[in-house]
Amino acid sequence: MNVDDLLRGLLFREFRIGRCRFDFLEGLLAVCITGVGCMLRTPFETGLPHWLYLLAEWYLAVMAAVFILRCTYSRRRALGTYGILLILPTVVAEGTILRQNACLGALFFLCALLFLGRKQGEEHPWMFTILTAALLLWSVRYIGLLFACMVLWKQERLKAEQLLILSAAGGTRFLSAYRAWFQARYTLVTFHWPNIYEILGKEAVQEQLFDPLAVVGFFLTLGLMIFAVWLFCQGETDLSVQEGQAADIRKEMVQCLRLFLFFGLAAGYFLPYMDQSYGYLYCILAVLYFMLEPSEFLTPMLLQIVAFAGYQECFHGESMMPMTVFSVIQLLIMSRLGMRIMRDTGVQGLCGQKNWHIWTD
Amino acid sequence: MDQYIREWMNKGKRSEYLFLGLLTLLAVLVRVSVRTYVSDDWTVFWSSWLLELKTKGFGALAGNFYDYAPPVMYLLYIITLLPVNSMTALKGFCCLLEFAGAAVIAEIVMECTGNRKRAQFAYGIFLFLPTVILNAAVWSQCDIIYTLLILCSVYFLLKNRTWTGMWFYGAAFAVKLQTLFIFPFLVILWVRRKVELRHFVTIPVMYLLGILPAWLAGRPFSELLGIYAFQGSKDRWSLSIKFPNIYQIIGNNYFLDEYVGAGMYLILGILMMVMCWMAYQRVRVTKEYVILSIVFMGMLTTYFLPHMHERYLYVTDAFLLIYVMIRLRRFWLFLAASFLTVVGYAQYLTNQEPYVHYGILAFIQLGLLIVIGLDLYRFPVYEQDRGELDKMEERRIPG
Repeated sequence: MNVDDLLRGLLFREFRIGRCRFDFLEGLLAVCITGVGCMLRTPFETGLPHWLYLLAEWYLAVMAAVFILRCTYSRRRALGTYGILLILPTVVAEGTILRQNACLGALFFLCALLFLGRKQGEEHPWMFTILTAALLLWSVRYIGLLFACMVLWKQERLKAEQLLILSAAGGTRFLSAYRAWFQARYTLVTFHWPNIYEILGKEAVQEQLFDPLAVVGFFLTLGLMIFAVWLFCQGETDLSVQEGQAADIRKEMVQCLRLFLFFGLAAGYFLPYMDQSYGYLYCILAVLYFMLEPSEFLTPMLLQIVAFAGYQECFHGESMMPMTVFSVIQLLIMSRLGMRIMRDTGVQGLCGQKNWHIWTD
Repeated sequence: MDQYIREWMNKGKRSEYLFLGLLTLLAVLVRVSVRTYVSDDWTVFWSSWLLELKTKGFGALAGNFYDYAPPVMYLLYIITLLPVNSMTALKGFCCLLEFAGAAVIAEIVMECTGNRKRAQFAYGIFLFLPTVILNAAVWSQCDIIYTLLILCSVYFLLKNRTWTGMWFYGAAFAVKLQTLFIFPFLVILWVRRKVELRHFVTIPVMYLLGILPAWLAGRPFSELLGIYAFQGSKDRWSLSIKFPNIYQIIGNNYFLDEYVGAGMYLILGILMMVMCWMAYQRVRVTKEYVILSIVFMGMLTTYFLPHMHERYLYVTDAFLLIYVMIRLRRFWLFLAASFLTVVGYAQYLTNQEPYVHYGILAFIQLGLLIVIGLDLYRFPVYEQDRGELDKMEERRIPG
């Protein structure tokens, strides 16, 4: 055997460490991508990357990989998730350049998803509830998740008492945000997050007692979210898992992620005073969504561009392209997600049956 | 008379020769008509290098006034010895290579499809591609040199003449660093047993052979080894120089130093994952797959690498032409790609901002990259489509 064949053989040779089996090439990629992820952060630092942020982001990538492995039983998809999250520009921008803590929120929610996305009989919906409630209490930027949970309750994935706890947590944080925001007298309605205000105008009204755009946006968000929840609850979804088959868990998680993504993005699209970090969690969820459903690759890709454009504007005070473009792209992403959810929940079919969309004499 | 002409043309391959002859003549005419255009690059770089070489002779190569690879400087030195206008000589030489390039493209198309008509079309299209005409005949650029060498390399690789192919690749690397855009494809060929490790020795050997005369002329060896690194550090004023890539969307004038490092590592990470996926992809490495991989690698690397110039898709466009000739349904891709690259050329040559924002062009380029990526992703899996592939191969056998 010559050197070439030896090396080629080595690349695809399977190794086993404990219960973990992997090809040499997979191991090599894992090691190299970890190194690249670390090096990617060094140009923004004077020395080595800050260990705490690096550790948190590494742990986030590992958890995401575990989640994908559990849902698909595919090592390579898990490895792909790990690699993508380590070099995701949004993650680098948030932790390394801005030194902010959105990674912590993403870690919390990934933990929650890990408890939700398990085989039948092994789920821990209460752990999911506790972690999500903590997240909702922590920041109002996660309020969209509450509305997604309402749809999950309708689909009997959550119990009423769990939803009540989540509603209490989200409601409390929402009210406190309302009080804080409208006393703060911000000069802008959005802080580098490309949402509806980048289209309508983001300068806040200063001469009045309150900013009409922000107040209307605040209540509009609530109204639209409740409307969307009502709409998606009209259909019937069969989410029952049969004997914990990978395909079923994957399918179920795809639908859950779609809901979280849609409601999360939609809330941020209309809520005033959101900042560039708003998109962080949803960029991570979009990567998971893509790994479970590769045909949906456009969602994470475009969302990544949209979110990073926000960070870029935050760093430099101006954007290469008008932020309106990114707002429109985000609207398109949401529309696509919304259409897919309507199909998942059977609402599309229902529209046809009841002739909701046809008016005749 | 009519009858006579028809019979004359239908005899043998006269009509084909006539078509090719007319195309060649027109291609020569267009190049001759624009030969007197003096570009800024000529005024600022080429003419001063030529002056240095003219005054100091071959010994001038010992100096560090040039940042191109030494083989290009040898060409310039030879030009100084000719009794013709230097600019006309350089442009003329590059234009000659364009004709050779068009012929190699036609040969590759013939090799991949077995269809003479498609090969002839490819020859004509390449010669009349706006970027090809503008590159050498107008701008006095020499991207055709390494492009031709890469085309020859791929041609011989497709012919299973691996050593010849790799010598050409090594020669291309000795001329221009941009050859590395498609290097990952060679690694995939190694994984697929089409190339052996020993073949890669051609790259350093040709590079060393390329710098040897300059070293003999007196330029320090360490400087010659690091000439590409020096090139990379030159364009630090913008992350994208009229090239529609990701930096035109997120911003090409900020974090100039930081994004250079980050962009390099980002594309390295992306390439690692893509190559790992390609290594596991269960496909038969057909000629179409080879061309498609080259196009994909060329587009992907330039989309994320910082400091890309408007000319850096030259080689990718040549392979894209071959690809769309194999898969005619994808011809619109080539049209779109040609339009995107010519915008940067036009801005450079006319000093006018384009009417379309580069960000929009970058989104279109992203769209093209996605389509090519999807073609690669959906490339027929060997086991499943074996029968169909075999039939396709049979159909492609000429005659």
